[in-house]
Amino acid sequence: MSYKKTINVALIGNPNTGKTSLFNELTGLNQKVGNYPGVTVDKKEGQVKLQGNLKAIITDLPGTYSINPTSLDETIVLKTLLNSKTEKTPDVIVVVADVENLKRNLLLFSQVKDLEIPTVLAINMADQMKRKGITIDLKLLQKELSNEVVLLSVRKEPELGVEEVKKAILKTYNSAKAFPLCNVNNRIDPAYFDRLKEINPKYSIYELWLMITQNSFPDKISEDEKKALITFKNDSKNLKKYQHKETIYRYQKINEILKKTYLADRSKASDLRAKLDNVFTHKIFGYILFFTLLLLIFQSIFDWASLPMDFIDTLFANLSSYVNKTMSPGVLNNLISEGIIPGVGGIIIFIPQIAILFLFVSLLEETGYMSRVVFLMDKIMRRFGMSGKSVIPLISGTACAIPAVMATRNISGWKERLITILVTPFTTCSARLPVYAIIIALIIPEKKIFGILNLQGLTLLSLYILGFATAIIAAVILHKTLKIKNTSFFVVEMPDYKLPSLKNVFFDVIEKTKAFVFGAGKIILSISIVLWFLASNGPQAFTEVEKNIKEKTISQEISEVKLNQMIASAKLENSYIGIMGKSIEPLIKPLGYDWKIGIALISSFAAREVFVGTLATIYSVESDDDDITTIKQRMNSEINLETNSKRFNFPVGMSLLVFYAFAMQCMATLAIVKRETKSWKWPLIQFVGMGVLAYICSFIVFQTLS
Amino acid sequence: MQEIIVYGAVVVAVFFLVKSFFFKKPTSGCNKDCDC
Repeated sequence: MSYKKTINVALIGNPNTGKTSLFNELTGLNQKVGNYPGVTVDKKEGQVKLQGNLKAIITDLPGTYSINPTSLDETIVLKTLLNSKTEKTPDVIVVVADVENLKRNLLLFSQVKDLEIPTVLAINMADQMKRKGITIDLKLLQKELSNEVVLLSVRKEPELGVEEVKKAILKTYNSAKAFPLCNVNNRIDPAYFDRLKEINPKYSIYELWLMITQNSFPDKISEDEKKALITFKNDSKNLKKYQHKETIYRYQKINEILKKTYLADRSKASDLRAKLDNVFTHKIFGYILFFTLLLLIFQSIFDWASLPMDFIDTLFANLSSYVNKTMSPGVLNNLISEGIIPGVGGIIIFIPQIAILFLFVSLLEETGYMSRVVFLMDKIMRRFGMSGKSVIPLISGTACAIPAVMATRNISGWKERLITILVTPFTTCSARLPVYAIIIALIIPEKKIFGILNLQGLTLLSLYILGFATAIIAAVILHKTLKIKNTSFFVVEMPDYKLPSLKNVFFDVIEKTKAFVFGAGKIILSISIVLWFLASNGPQAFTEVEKNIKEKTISQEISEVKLNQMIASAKLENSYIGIMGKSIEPLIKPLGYDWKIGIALISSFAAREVFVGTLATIYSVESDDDDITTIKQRMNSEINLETNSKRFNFPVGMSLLVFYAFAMQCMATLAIVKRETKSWKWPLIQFVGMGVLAYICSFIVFQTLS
Repeated sequence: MQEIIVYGAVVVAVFFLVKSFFFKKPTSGCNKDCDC
C-alpha cells in the first residue's frame, strides 16, 4: 500500500533508557542501518504506520546526556537538531527517559524543548515504579511541561505504552505547537539574547545559542550570519558565565516541576541493586569476578567458534577446488578459485568469533554489568592515559582487533579513544595463533616443567602477556607524547540490573557483524585480488619458467605432482611478489630471514594467518592446509645454505615470533582504524610505529641469540 | 574475454584501494581533536 504522507520522528534520550528497545518495538524488522554523512556512527531508521495513510520514519539517535556533545555519537544528536529547518529533520522528537533518573533525563528534555521542536516525553521502565517506591502525577506533569507525557514499559511483556507513544506522536504532530520550557534568555541576560535573536529570527534563541556555544552551524546558515554568530562566540567571558547560569537555571526549573509531580520513597523500594553493586564494584572481589568471567568468555569464544570456523574453512576450500575443477582453465578460473574465493573466505571465517564476542559483550551490557566493570577499571586505566571504557576494546582485541577498534566508539575523550585504537592491535589476536603455533612447534621442545606445565603452552602464554604489556607501555608513551587537548570526564550510567532483551542482543550482534563484513570486507577482498595478481604474474622470466623447468627435468624421473610443485615454486620466485620478496631480502637478512620468508611477510600483510599458507606454497608442500605436520616437517628441514644449518632455528623462530607480536600485519585493522579516525594519518603512524618496533626488537633478538 | 574480466577486477580492486585513501572527510573536526 502507498502512504500519502510521511513524517520524520527522532528518538533521543540518555544512554540505557530503553530508546533502542522502543525503536525495535515501534519498527519491528522494518528497519535499516546506514551511516550519518561523513561520520562512522551508525544511523538506524525504521518505519511505522501511525494512522490511516500516515506513516512515520523513526530515527534512533545515539544516546546522549545533553545537547552539549562530548563524543562523536553525541555530536550527531546536536547536528540533527541544529539542522531542524531542513526538510529531512524531525517533525516530532520523542525524548525517552528512565523513570528512576527522571531529573537527569529532564535536562536533555528541557534542551530539546527549548529548540521549539514538537516533543513527546516517554517515561520508560514505568512497570518498576512500584518496586522502587516511585509515584508520578502524570496529568500535573503534562501541564507543568506543556507537553505530551507517556508512561512506557518496553521490556514488560506485553509491552506497555507503545501504542500511547504513537498516539502522542500523532497528537503532537497535528497540534504542531512547540513552546520553550525554560526561556533561559529571560533569566540570564534578555538584552544579550535579543541581540542574538536579531541575527536570524527564523531560528529559536536556544538554537542560535547552541550554534555559538557548541561551535556547530547548520548547513543552511549564510556566511554573514555565521560571522555575526562568531562575534558572539568570541565573547568567551560572557559565554562561560551564561553557560553555567543556563545549567543552574535548568535544574532549578526541573526541581521545581518534580517537587510537585514526582515522589521517590526509597523506604518502599525493594532493592537488590545496592547489594549487587557492593559485590561487583568491590575493590577485591570485583576484580576477581571480572577476570573469572573473562576467562570463561574467552574459553567459550575459542571453543564455540572453532567448529563453525572449521566448517567455513572446509566449505571455502571445497568451493575453491570445485570452481577450479568445473570452470574451464584460464586466468578467470585462477582469479576466482585462488583470489576471490579465499579472499571472501578470509572475511567470513572471522564471523563466528566476532559474533560470539559481541554476543557476550552485548549480554553484559544489557544486564547492566558492563557499566560496573567500566567503573571498576577506570582508576587503573586512567594511569595509563586510557579510560575505564578502554577495557572492552583491549579484551576484545584478543579475539580480533577489528571489533575491538569499533568498540572504542563510546569513549568520550578523543585522546583516550585514539590511544586505545592505537594500542589495541598489540593484544594477541586469534589471527596470530596459527603463526605462533607453527613456529613454537618448530623451535620450542615439547617438554613439561615441574611435570605439569607444558613449555610450548608457557611460551604461548608469554606471548599473550607480551602483547598486553606492550599495549600498556605504548599507551603511557602516547599519553605523554600526543599533544591533543582532552576535556574528557568520566560519566558512566549505572543502570539497573535486568534480564537481557534477546531482541536487542540479536539486533546488536547482527548490526556489528554486518558492519565488519561490509566495512573491512571490501578492503580485504581488494587486497586479496591484488596479491593474487602479483603472485600469478611476472616479467619475462616468469612466462618462461614452466618451459625451462620441463627442459631441465626432461631426463629425470620425477612424478607429475613433484614437477607441478617445482613449477609452482619457481613461478612464485619469478612473480612480482617473488621479486618483491627478493628485493626486501637485504633489509630482512639482519633479522635472520631469507627472500622466501620475505614473501610470506609481504603476503601476510593482508592477514597474518596467510603466513603459514604462503610458506607452505613456497616450500612446495602439497596444498593440504590441515596437514600441519607436513608443513612443519618441510619447514623443519629447510636449510640455510650460507650457514648449512636449519633455516627455522631458535634465533630465527624467536625473531619471527617477536616480529609477529609487534608488527601491524593486518590490512583489515588498518582499514578499520582509518574508518574510525577518518584519516590515513593514524593507521600510517600505527603501521610505521609498530613496524619499526617489530624490526628493532626482532633484530635485537636474532643478533643476541645467534 | 577472460583476460578482460580479470584485468577489470584487478583495476577495480586497485581503484577501490586508492579511492579509500581519499575518503570523504567529516563535516566537522569533532571526531578528530574533539573537545566539543
